[in-house]
Amino acid sequence: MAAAGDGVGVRLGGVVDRAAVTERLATRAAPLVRREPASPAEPAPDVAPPSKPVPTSGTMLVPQSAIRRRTAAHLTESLATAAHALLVVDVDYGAVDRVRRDLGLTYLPFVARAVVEAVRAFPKVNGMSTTEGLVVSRDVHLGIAVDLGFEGLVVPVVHRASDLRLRALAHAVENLAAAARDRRLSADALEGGTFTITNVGNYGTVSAAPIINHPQVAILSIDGVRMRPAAVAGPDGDWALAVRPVGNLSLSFDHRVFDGAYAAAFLDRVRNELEHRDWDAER
Amino acid sequence: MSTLDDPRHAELPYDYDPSELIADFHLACVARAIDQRELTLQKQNKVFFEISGAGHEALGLGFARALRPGYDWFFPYYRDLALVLGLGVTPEAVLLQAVGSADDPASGGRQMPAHWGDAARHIVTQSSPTGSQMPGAAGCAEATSYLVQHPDLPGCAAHADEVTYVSLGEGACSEGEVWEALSAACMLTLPLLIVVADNGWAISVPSRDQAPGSIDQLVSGFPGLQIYDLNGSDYFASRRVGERATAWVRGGNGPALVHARVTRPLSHSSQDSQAKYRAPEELAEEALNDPLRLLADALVGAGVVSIDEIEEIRQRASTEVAAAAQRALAGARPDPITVVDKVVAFTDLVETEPDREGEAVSMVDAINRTLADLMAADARIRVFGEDVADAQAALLDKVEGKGGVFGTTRGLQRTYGNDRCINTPIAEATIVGRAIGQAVRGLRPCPEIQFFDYIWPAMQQIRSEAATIRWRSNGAFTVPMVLRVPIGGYISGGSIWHSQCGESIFAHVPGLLIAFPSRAVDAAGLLRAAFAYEDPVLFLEHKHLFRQAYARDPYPGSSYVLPFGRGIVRRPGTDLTLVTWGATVEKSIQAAAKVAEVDGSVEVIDLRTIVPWDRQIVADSVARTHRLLVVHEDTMTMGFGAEVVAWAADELFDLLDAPIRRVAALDTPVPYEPTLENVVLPQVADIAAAAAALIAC
Repeated sequence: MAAAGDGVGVRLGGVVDRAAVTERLATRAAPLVRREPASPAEPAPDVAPPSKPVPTSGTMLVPQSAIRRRTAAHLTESLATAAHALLVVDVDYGAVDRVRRDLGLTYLPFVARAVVEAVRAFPKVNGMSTTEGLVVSRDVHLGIAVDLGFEGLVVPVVHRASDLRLRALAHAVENLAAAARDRRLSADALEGGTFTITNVGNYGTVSAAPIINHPQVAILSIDGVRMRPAAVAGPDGDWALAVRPVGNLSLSFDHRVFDGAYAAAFLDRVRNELEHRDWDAER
Repeated sequence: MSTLDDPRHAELPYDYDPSELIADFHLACVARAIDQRELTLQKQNKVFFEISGAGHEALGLGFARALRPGYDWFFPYYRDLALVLGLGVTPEAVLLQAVGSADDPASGGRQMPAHWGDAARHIVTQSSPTGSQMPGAAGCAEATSYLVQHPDLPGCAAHADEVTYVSLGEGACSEGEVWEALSAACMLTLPLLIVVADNGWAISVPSRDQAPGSIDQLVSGFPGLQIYDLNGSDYFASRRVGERATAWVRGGNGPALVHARVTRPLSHSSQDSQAKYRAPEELAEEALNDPLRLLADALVGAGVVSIDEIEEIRQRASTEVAAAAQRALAGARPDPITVVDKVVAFTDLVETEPDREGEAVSMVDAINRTLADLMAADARIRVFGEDVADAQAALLDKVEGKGGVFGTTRGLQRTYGNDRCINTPIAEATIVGRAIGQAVRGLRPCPEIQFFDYIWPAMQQIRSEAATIRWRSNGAFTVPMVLRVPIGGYISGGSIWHSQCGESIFAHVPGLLIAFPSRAVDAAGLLRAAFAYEDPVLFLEHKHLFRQAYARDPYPGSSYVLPFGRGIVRRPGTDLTLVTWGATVEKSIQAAAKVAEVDGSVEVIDLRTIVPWDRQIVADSVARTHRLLVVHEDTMTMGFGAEVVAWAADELFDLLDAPIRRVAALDTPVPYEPTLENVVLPQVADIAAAAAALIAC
């Protein structure tokens, strides 16, 4: 039986399924697509416009769903609007790992917790760029990018993440991700984010250049953590080679709103939290 | 006719168990308290509509005592709050619907308050149109004797002495469906108990402006109908008449109709204010005859309870309802994602291999043989409609038999019996309504409307009843029926009322599946699939194709299934995708051959089903051809082609190199004289011209 949500509505006309509701709610939650600024008429190009795709033998046309097209429009608008700049730091996750394994958690809630702490010192990364200026949010409403089995992307929001300790934060992230994958997110859960974390590290990425979830002004990517040789300071001040769990964090920020020094200081603070915070106290 | 006395006397008029009397008085108070609580909650925006059962409590509770939940069947109407409480529905269940909770057992928050539904108690999900429950109730009652005579049908059960209860207000008696169903119930001697609750007002219209007399007067000439007149404000009279009328129906004597005079102390609904149109004196008079007051007086007068105990019962009822309301308000809120669940349960069937060596048959024979094969395998299938039977049973040996005006049902009565293929009165609403009631009982009815042109009296049954039943009951009730309807023109002389199309009107209705085959083999495979689905199917059979040589195919065998939603490429091509169905498939193939003469290559796609329709095959084809033409026989404006085109404009915009065009009937009825018909309906030349022009542009 074709229960709701398994996509018959895409292939067949006249049979509605849950994707229609998901799409409707996502549409309502998303900002209106901005009309591109009028530009003076351009001379006709010398070359002919690209022709329609003509599927040949062995190829298949994949029509773009409406939700896909909206995602595309949103990302394109963000890239066209925000002045994207990228910073990458490496992080020693040794302190995190001791607690993480005991609690059976992923790196994501630790990074989220570190971000929330770092935002206290660098509040400008947690806000919305508007025509009036930067609107800084007191609370951190943390968007978590969730992949829907390669079929699409949603960014549910942990509201007031700044009020949550490690385990509550981990729990909230887990619940939202499960709801997203089951396509039962409410419209509220998709609204109001002030900062976004995306996590592709489980595929072993070294560095990412994420697109800012406009009108937010920064997005942090968690890259793959693996055991790496690292120089560590010994008790006598000598340096020694050690094998440590190391992974990168990549921050895309909107250079229109603040500068590289501010963004780098924020990112350094995130790294410091991850490496030196008393994680045992958050068990 | 039976009239019972005024209840106000010192002794109880009948010897009833005092504990039952106290329990029913308590339930009457609960019912009234629910009305009051809902009105209060509505003012707080926690309930969004209210419609009361006030004034009808004694009637409902009196009848509930004679009826058996989970044994008898119930098609109540919105003022039957006390009846459903008497049948065991809890105040909390009632209030969960009022607050729109996901836990509402009747509809999961989808329906207004007082739209009862309880599968375990056989309370069939209710719609809002007045009187439209009557044909379905007749069908339910019709199922009784069939199920008793055919025990052990899967998913079916019946009792020989069961009763189907149906109720309605006196205002609803103005509806034609009520009279159709009443006529059928009397003609078929159905075990149907009809209770007309007459509170004198249809919203603001008094009964004298509704009908020339009271319903018991109006039906007095109906042969086979047992009629009761009742003061429904009188609990004791209601119990007595409830016992008698139920016993009459239970005894297999045929239908009974109870005219129950009741009051309406509250306005029609929360959106109404009866002070605007009713005299204060009348309302004061009604208050004196309030059923709760009369019952309290009788119980106190007979010494069953004291005045203090009456007050204690009222208070207790009020407290219980308040607590039930609190629980209802704490119930789960509906999750928006679920709102599209249970519109249809579209099953993705597996297409089987047709027998390609079978005897060549026309479309009419393919349908006839498929029906026969299906009926042989499944005794739940009953075929009925106008002229579908062969002949009167006594004449079968002497005459050839009719078997439908097109012969699609020929021999089914002769082969499978007089109760498997049945002629009906010319009453389309009741043909479909009888199917709905039988489908609710687990049968697989196959009603026929003789011509698509005459389907409109049944529109309410199709659209408001059959197509909504799964959704409105949150999946508790379903109507798996296959409604077969000959459709279409190109028959020279058919004229306006034997030639129309109109599939788009039904495609607009969520909850229906629609097939529109163009060939014998597809008709056979789709018809078999139609019986496998669990939802109402509109099966459109094109009259022009019934006996065409080009529509003949080898009979595909008794197990061939063609799932809905699978279009087919009838003729491959590279320059233009032509989407069509029904009689214009062959015309489009001929047009494609003409276009080939001017070096255009047209790909003809036959959708085969309208709901669901195969978007994928259209997308795949347009990705190759970059041009789209939709052809149909129905009129252009808002024909189903408009849907195909709108979808393509949205989803295939990037693929298209030319405007999307349609060829369809002129927006004109189909005329009688052949040259006039020819100009209105799309012809090969119209299709070829449009296709060639699109390819050239």
